[in-house]
Amino acid sequence: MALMDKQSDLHSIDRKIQVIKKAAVELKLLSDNFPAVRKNTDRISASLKMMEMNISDALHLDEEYKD
Amino acid sequence: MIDDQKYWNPFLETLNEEKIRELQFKKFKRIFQWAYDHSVFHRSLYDAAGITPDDIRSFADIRLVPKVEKSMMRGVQRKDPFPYGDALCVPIEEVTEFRQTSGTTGQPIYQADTWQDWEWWSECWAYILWAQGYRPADRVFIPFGYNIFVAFWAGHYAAEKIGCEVVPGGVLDTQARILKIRELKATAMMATPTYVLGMAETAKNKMNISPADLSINKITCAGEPGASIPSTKKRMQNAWGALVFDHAGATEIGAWSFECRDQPGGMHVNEAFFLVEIEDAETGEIIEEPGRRGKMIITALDRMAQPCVRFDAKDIIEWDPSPCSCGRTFRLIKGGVIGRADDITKVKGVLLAPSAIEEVVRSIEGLCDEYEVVVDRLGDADRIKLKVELMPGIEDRVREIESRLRDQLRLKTNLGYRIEFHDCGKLPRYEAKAKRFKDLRKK
Repeated sequence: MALMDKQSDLHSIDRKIQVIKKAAVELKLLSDNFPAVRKNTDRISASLKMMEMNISDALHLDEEYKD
Repeated sequence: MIDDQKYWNPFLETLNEEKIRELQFKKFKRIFQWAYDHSVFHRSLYDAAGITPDDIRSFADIRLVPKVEKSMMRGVQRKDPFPYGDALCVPIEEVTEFRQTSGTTGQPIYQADTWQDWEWWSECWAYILWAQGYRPADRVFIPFGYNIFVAFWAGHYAAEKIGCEVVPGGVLDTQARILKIRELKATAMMATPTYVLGMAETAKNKMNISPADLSINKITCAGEPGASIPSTKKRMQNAWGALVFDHAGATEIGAWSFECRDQPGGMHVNEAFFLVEIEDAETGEIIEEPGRRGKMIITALDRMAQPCVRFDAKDIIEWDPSPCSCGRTFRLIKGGVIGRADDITKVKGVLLAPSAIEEVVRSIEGLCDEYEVVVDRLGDADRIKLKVELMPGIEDRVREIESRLRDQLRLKTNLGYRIEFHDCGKLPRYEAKAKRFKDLRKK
């Protein structure tokens, strides 16, 4: 529970999620003709969405959804 | 070290109530806007009611949004795109999972999920399993038919996500499943209450194996309310020497609630992922206070391909006023799902929930697990018959058992029954959802 006492840790996690999300979007753009990369990136994106549901959504209650 | 963590998500599961409501409101607005923008079915429903996403300015405004009933979904699915119809919010190419409802109450509903939605299903289940004590060291046996019904599919994926070792007990018969549990020393299992009891009976009577001597230490139930019915839970726990936990979910909704390790006599609603409202079945008023039963209206806040927005689930529930000793701030529903609005019927002018009969039958020592209720009509008068099975070797106690059964049934259901005794094993056995209540008046 120590983690939850420190909102800063949650924000660090959230920032890292956003970095990976940005990388996944870029990877997807690079993989139009490469099914093995494209489809595995879709799976990474779904997992990242779960992390946003678990962390980011509740951290940014006062912000509008961007997607 | 992570195995010692009590919560799957220590942030959301301990969020204070104000923040939970804020999160639900924000997510509701998003899913409502999504359905409005992408589903022809939802758009026409909301247009007909004269409501747009801009009208949702406060939590109370959520109640202005029209409910969706299962019967509406049946109409939707006659339209394109095949086979889901115009409630589908994504291109059909993005759908990766097909499941359908069991069709217990009519024509089955087909449910589309994208990979993201399927991840969400297993994420919901991960909350359930972690709360019930599943950890990576567990070897989880799933004695389920892996088919078109969602049942324990997402439980399988969630157990994998947690890091458990999963043994799919698919097409094996009951005896082969029991032998496999014994051989592999499985520590956990998922099944309907009917099948948990049925497996125990097979092990004892046909294989001379005591399920309590196997290595199963926890069982997750779904599909029927049995694990929240105290006498049924007790029978399962005694038979297997394991803790038995309830969980409720549905194909069109998702895995929305779970009993935690503390067994508080109810189930937590996963309020970070679902919005549950309780509606007075007579007046339509939303019930906020604990202790009043009503019909569940539910929104899956993150399900995108085929959204579930204010779905009239027909489950009867009530809020529990007490916080749970586990520390989760997700509210509890007392006694789990008490029944279904469809199942609660009037017999001789008295409202009857079939689960009340189960609670009585399974609380009486000397009766086997199975039973059957038949309601019919003679002239203008309803009649109700209860068929039960006597355990072997106690035939001399029939009158005493009958007397206790009558008294308890009168007390718990306010009805008098014709009681019929059968030998153990003579009534039908079920592997999935049981059909023990037969109302012949409807024919």
